[in-house]
Amino acid sequence: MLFNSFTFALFLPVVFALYWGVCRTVTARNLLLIVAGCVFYGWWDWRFLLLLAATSMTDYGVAIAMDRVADPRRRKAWLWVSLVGNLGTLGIFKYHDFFATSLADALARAGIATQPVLLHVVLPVGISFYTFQALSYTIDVYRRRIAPVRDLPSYLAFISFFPQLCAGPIERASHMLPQFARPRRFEPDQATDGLRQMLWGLFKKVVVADNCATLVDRIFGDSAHLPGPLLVLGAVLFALQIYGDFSGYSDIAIGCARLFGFELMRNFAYPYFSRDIAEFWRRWHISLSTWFRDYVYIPLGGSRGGTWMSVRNTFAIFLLSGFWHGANWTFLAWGFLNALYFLPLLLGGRNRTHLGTVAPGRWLPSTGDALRITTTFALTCLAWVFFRAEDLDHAFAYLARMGDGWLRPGAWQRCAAVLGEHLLLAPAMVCAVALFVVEWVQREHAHGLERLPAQRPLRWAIYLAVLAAVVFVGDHGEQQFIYFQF
Amino acid sequence: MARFLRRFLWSALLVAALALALDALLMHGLRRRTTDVFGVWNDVVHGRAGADVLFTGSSRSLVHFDAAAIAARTGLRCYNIGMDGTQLDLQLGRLRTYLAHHPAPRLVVQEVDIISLEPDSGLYFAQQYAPYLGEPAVYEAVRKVAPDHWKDRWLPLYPFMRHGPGLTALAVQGLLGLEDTLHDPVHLGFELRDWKWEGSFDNFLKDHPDGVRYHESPHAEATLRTLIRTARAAGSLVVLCYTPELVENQRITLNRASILGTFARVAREEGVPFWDFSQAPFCADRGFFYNSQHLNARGVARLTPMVADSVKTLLERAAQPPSARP
Repeated sequence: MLFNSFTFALFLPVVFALYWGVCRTVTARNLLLIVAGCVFYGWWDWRFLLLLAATSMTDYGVAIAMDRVADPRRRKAWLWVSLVGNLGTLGIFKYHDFFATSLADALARAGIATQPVLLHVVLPVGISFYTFQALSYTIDVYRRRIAPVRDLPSYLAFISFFPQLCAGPIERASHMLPQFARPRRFEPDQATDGLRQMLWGLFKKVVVADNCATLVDRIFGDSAHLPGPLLVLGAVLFALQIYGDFSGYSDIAIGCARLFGFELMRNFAYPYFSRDIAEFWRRWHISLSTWFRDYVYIPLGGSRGGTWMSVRNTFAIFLLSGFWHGANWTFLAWGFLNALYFLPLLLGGRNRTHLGTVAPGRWLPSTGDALRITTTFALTCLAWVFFRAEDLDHAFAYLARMGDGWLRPGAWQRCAAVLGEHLLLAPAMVCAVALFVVEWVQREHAHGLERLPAQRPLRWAIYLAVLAAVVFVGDHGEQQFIYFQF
Repeated sequence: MARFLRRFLWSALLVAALALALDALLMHGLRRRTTDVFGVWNDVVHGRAGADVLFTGSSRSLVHFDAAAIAARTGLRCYNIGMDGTQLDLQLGRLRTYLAHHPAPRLVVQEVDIISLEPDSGLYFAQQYAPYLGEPAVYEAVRKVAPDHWKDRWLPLYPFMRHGPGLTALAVQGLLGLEDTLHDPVHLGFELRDWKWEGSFDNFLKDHPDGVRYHESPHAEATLRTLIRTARAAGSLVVLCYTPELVENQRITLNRASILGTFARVAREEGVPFWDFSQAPFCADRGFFYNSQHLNARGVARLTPMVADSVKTLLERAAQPPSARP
């Protein structure tokens, strides 16, 4: 079920009413959330519920078994059961065919012809997200940071919590499980702000992301025949699309969770206002970045082992992060490029320069900050080309053509002709600009509609303007969220 | 909780009221349009399409029957309610709507073609129906083809969400009277498509080297009979009219004889004439077509007198007392 679907618009009020109106105990509410999670997730394909149930129950049992043994080797053995179970499932569904074809290609280059065995299995929605979330649970139990949960409904409700089941934020068990275990009281302010955040997320998704997607698909699909200025525009629009899509999803997920009395972790903190790439990665997909930091970077030694170790670990997490997104060389290249961007900051000891909000308390950034923001955004857009391209050849060809035709009048006519075919997207482009203006103004708040002016008419004018944009400018073709494929 | 719910309900009510008002305003804008498909719909539902001869059918009716030219040649009032991309269910819905708002025409010319008996495959240019779903016949027909379209009727602003900003722009144009009436290609429901040969048929030929077979759905045949009976019950004469079709396409259609046989049989059993213009000599010449099934301006100019004369003869003969008819 998609957040931007008519079905979800019916589903959510029903679950909300049952949750607060009918279910009174913690267990009843958790059981309802499990059922809701199953309906929500099973809407795509109920068979994947079996997979979710199998991996969840394995982790539930492993955590309890780990707690019962004191011998570190046996504890580690149990942890390996969880790692193999989760990553093995992920490997089979997501990476098997990629490795099989890559190996066959490599062997073919060496003159050995092989026929790779491909599984051609459909990737279960959100598998990378819930696998990482489940892993955080067993690893934290292994590290004795949290005690294993014995209350099965709480545990299953945590794993199958529908707002963040398909595309995060990738929560930590230590943050979420206590929330599932304790009684919940309805907080009107929390719920109201949750609704506002959902509205803002919907705006980002259907107005900005889905409309940008139309032009992005056109430009990336025909990049070999389009002039450079359009390709630059395509890369910029993809940056807007992926931000609107994923941060929009996160806003809806966080807002939706707040309706049920839960606080999810923040996943985006206005990343395109970052002044360097290190800041960008502290603000983009925060739940994944911190997951890799906590469960890969730090266990590998982090920055404690000298420069070489830091560089190695940085590349490791960027490459892993790229690979997490998908089984394609383009994602690895994207991760590698980001690691390269990061390298000068790391070597110069400047990777923690910009920790606070840009230009706090001021309307505009300083010239220096504006230049740094623009440069970071441009670098990010270049990297996004790899993320969006079909394969590496496509990405390199796209990048090579970006400089083409800037001085040719015919190229600009072609640009005008292509944009003319999409004139109806003009209001959406205005909304995309508005998105960044609003987020700039609100950059010290959690989301674009948080803490609006106190005057009710003004507040309502803002709500109605956003609603009107969603209704009249939004693309309501129920486009899937990009990150569902990961 | 109660306070939250109260506030939420009040807010929802306010939003719903605004949505209803805005929906009514925008639909009014669409119903005010005088050009393109909405102009024809508005003529139909506002009783402005009164005609002695009514042409109905799919895109082949829309682009083949030049109502003004036929009117000029026959001296009869003509109107064309043919609709692009439609099968018989929707054509029947449109005819019923026409009859609900007009006196019955003297003659209904129902266009049929090689794909008339195909089952419905969805709504083409679905936004055109949104302002008229309050018409029972339109709603029934649309729901048959696209059951999901109840939302367009009952949820305020939903059509504008579903069909995108293009529909809103058309509504605003209609409201503000900003339509481009000078370049409207539609006149009395007829759309002149003076297009060059578009080449799609050549690809079609390549894709179907062994010929092509079209569906012959019993439902479509039953709908055709209903359509004939509806028009006759209203007091109109009815003709089934197979419009010109490129000979090359006729040759690759494996079950053409069967389809035409069905039309002839239905016409015979329902007691209505069946005209077949696909045997006209110009059907062998691509110069009269923009694709295998649609005439360009040259083709329409060639067809118009043939249709006009047939209409005139039929109505003159019908006006004679039965004893004087040959």
